[in-house]
Amino acid sequence: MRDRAIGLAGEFLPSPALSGPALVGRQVLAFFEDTGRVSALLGQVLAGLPAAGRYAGEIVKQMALVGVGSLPLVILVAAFTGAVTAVQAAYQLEGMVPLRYVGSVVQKSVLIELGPVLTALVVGGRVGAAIAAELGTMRVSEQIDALETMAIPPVRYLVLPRFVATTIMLPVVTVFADFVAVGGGFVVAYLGFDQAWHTYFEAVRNTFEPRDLFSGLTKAAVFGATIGLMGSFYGFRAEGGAEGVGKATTQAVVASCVLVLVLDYVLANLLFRVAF
Amino acid sequence: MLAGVDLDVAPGETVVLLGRSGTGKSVLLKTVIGLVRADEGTLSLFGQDVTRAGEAAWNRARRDVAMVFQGAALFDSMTVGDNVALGLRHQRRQGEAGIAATVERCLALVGLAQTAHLKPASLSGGMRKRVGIARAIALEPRLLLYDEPTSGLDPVTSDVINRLIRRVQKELGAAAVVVTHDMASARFVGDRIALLHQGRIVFDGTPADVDRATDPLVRQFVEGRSDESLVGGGP
Repeated sequence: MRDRAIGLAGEFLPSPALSGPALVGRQVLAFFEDTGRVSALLGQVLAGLPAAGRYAGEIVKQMALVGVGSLPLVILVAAFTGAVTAVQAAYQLEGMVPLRYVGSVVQKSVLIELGPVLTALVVGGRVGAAIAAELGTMRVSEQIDALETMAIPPVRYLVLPRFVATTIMLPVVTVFADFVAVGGGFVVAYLGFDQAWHTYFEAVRNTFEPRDLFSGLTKAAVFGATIGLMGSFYGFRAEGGAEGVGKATTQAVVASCVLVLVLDYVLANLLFRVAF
Repeated sequence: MLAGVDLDVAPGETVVLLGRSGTGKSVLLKTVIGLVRADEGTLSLFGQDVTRAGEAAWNRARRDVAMVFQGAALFDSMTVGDNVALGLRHQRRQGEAGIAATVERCLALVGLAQTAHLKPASLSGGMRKRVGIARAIALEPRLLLYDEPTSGLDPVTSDVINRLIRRVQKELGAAAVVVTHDMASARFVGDRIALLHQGRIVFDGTPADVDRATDPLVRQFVEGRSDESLVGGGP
């Protein structure tokens, strides 16, 4: 601050922009700094969990926004996901494996992978952006500062309800997505290659394993926590008015989506190679 | 940004902090309430050193301090009544009936009785500022901080806010620090006026002292002249 330039009116001017190696170095440092800050925010949220009951009303409100609000889009995406999976399963199985196993392929693919991941990407885009935009607007309009001045801890009041809501509701929404996707696969199987409903759903049932559902919902819970956390993190540090809020929203969505994919890989190894 | 600010505020006193844009007036207010932490120096609130205080200690100290933000910082998702009641509900000082009564009393004091059900988006700028003041006084603070309370308001509404500030100070008996660059507002609400320039207090006196001052920086600010020979350089 002491080295900042002074303007004609005696005011402090912003620092000049960096370029070249200095910019790359700054971005590398910023990545590690952000990783630390996200971890610190997660720590604060987890430390506040015992007091979550105090914010029950806000948690329920956020659960409705995340869950009920996301359902129409999730159902649409899930229906087409199941349909496409059935089409491609039929294409790949034809001539090698009887088509009566299409239901099994759809069920396994959806429960283990497509259901939680695609639901998380859809919800991450919708809910993650909404959280970042709302909190970012609150930040630039000093509402978060106002909370601090009233001795209301902003992390517990704003981040905790959203984190809990997304962690709980993403598995719930994923269950809906799983059902709809399996149903979407049946529609293709019935209309595309005249498969009877009992053939399709017998294949779904015969290869169903509870660990597949459990693993998929575990992934969904982790993805949900990630979406709530990243939306809140970028929203909290928005600055610079409307442009800053827009930037925070974009960063939240990108970060959520990237982390969902990275965590999907990590969890797949943990759940299917280590745990089971 | 601030390098050498020595400012004392006596109980019940209203100190106005003047200065040009970007000189650190709002930063000073935010430092007093702990939103910004000072690198050096000492900050005492009601005799307690809070310079290196942790968050828990700051939350205790903030029970006696309230801030009215430049843009009012009302929570858009809540009604006016819920905005005013928020601090009371969180601190659990009263039951709901008591909180409702306090909200109505504070809104009536700022001239906004019967508006508790409205949303901030439906209010004018001056009304939003008054709700911000009502929210601050609901907690019965011993120190009130006002950040540019008349910024963006027309002269008539500015006068309403100035008179409201005087009335609130009289009714609550609280000390106040008012940051502004509005000279008329400063003369009306201030018991003392301090001028901040390049991170330092360069003048501290009564409104009458301001009118008598011969310091070029003070005269430049009071008369509203942009004389480049008096600015430039670093702190």
